[in-house]
Amino acid sequence: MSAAPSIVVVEDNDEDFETVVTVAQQTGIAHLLRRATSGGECLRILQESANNRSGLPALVLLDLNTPGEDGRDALRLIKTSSQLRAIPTVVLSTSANPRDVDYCYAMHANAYHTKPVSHTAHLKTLQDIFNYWLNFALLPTSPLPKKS
Amino acid sequence: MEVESALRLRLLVMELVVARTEQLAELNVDLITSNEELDAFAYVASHDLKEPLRGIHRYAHQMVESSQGLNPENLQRAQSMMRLTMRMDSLLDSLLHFSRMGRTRLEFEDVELNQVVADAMEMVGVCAADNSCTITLVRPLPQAHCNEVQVREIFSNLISNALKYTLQKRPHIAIGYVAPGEPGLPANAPPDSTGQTVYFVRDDGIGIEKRHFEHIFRMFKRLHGRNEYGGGMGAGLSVVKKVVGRHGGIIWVDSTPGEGSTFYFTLPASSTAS
Repeated sequence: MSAAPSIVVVEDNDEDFETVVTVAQQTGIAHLLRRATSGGECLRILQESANNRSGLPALVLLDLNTPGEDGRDALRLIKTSSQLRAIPTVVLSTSANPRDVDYCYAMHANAYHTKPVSHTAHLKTLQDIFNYWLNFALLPTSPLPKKS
Repeated sequence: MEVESALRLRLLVMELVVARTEQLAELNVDLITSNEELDAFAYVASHDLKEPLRGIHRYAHQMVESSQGLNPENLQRAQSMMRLTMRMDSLLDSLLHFSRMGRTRLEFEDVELNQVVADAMEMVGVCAADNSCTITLVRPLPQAHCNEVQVREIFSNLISNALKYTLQKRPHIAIGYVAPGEPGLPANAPPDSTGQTVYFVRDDGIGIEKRHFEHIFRMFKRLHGRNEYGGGMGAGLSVVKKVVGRHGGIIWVDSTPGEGSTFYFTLPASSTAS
């Protein structure tokens, strides 16, 4: 029933997604990476796993600026959904705009990070995120509430 | 007859005032909107330019990492690419900083400038500890009516410039002010500075030729090679000038090449000043 726990990575940029994959491999995390190229696709993936009770992802890594329904929309819908809101949702965006940062925290994002241009710094940021959320933090055992 | 025309005139004037007020209100709304749009534009531009930049940097990084297949010349090229992309990253940050500097709302209050200078020195990471330079306050500074964070940026920029553009083993910086009516202003003090408190930061650095006195405040203008004198983006003084300008002040420089430079600027006096 419980497949390997997964991470949903919302990222429309191929290079940036590859970087996430590289770090996941280096860090040796067992999680399955599921890619969404837009906020809308992310919501579909989450809704699907909530519906067939295959287990919600352990973490959502969210890029803000994606085509179509973007990361902001996804964040808002995740955090207003009683089914999804417990999933740690970490924003990783190139934007350092205080307006974006404030918006995301107001929408209950669990953390906000900027993507550095330096590749070394980018790797480090991702390592830190994975380390913190998957090794240090205690995550909800069953983010999925009992069906009433 | 005269009363009637006076009344008509009054009506006319009132209509005019109302119309003007409405126009002004509209203009104000326009201004606020366009400021917000500019701000959003600056962020979006910097975001969208950085994304491909990160991609380029990443590929260069990977080329350097897998350098077995690379001859020394190409390895160097890939390394240069990494360096240049990082430089562009800094330029974009400076540009964003500069463009925001002019538009974020400023809160003004009476500020203890002595404390601001102490904070600025700490920010620059000076030197008192290792005795590598001396910074003296000629006499305690008065209070000014200003935005503390931004004025700290004035001092930290000027101090860090003074420490950069020098050949002295132990550079010496003097910080002080000239009160209105006091002697001590240079001959090239602009007329607007009369009657104002003029602050200065004086160094014994390499100095600036007179013909560059204006250029140095231009965005991204550097007088020296990219890696000389600790490098930099050429943004510091344009930010300083903008901050001074937003306080309604003026800034100028006086300098003798080989002897040192003095940067002068004015800030509004504190509201309690006599």
